[in-house]
Amino acid sequence: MTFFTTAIAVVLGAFALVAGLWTWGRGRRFWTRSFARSAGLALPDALAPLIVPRIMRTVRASALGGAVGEALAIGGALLLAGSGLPAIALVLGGFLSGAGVGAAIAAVGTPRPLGAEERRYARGAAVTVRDYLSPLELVGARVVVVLAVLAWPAGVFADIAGMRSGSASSVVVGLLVLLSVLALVLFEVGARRVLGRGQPAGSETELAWDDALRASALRSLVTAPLCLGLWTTILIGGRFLDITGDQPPRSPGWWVGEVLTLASLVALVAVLVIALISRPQHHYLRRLWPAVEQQRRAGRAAR
Amino acid sequence: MIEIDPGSPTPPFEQLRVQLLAQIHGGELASGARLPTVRRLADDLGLAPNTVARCYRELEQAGVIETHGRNGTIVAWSSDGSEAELQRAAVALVERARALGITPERARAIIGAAFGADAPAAP
Repeated sequence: MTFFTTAIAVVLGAFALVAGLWTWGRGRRFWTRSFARSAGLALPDALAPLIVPRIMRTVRASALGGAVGEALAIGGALLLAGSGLPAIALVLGGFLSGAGVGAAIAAVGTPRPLGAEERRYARGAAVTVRDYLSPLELVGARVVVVLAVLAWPAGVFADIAGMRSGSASSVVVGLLVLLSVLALVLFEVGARRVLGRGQPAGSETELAWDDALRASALRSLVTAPLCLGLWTTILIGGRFLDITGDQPPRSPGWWVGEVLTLASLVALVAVLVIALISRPQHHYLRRLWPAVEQQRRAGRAAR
Repeated sequence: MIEIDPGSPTPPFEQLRVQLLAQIHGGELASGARLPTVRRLADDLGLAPNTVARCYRELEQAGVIETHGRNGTIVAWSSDGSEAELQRAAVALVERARALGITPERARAIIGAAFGADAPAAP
């Protein structure tokens, strides 16, 4: 592993450690405020004893999952003597995958039992994963992982053609493709489990918060396949360019690499721009709580 | 949003049925909208699955919802056009028939008779 990869691994590890341990006192207030801001919901005092422990559980589980995922990825990178961008992608991917799994595990905990005399609230319509994740994230993750899988054989072919068959980076890229697919499978399975958990709620606000926690867990879970698929496709495209060179006459492989890399970079920029504009973290509000979203927007416009 | 009040004198079954009907007629649950599974709604509302199943069955008999096996239960009633108006009248008729203690078979026979000779003869 290079110095840069090691530095990234150390920073991620330190972040996971601090985040996981800093969930008491000020840390508790910090994460609660940060989560409420991200979710676009106010947390009434009466509801805090029910919601704050769930937020802290999510933070701790994400941090622990991220640390475990990162450790496994570092092990993989060391074992395969990976270096450079593929190793960095592997470490980041391991961290994101682990954090997503941690958040999902926290989200599928046993729902609280409602009191016998407590009013109960439920939505009349069934919800699906599309209610919690924007198409950009949901469809985007599936598309980029399929793209990475399709591009992989071409990348291996390019390696062989470039007489670099069996190089360490090539194996690490293969591992990245595998990790992308694994992350997508984890997301699909995890999303079912998260949505399968009941949503007993003693008020509409509690139900809205449960939706916020669900949306957050699903977004954590989908981030890994989305990023891994995108990075892997870019890396494979880049390998075409490396191997075929930039000198005319340009081979068909060069053009494949050029198109793959450019398409992935354009997709990456588009994803970032759309994510900034559309605020995917509030997608669940637009779908499930349009009145709350309207109030939130009106409040922002008034400020 | 469905709200069940365990302290209400109205039985939970009736609270659920009335609220689902109101949401469907009010357009909150549009035609084609999927309802939660019986088990999910029962768990979330703290009701017995039989209570929710009975409610769905009644709404299905009234033509308001349809059950499509593994594809779940969807809203069949639409607020568009004259058919919707007729559906509304039919739901009101079914409710009135129930209130008067008239069996579904007898009510169908009466409707048939109103349509003309092709209706089955009333017993």
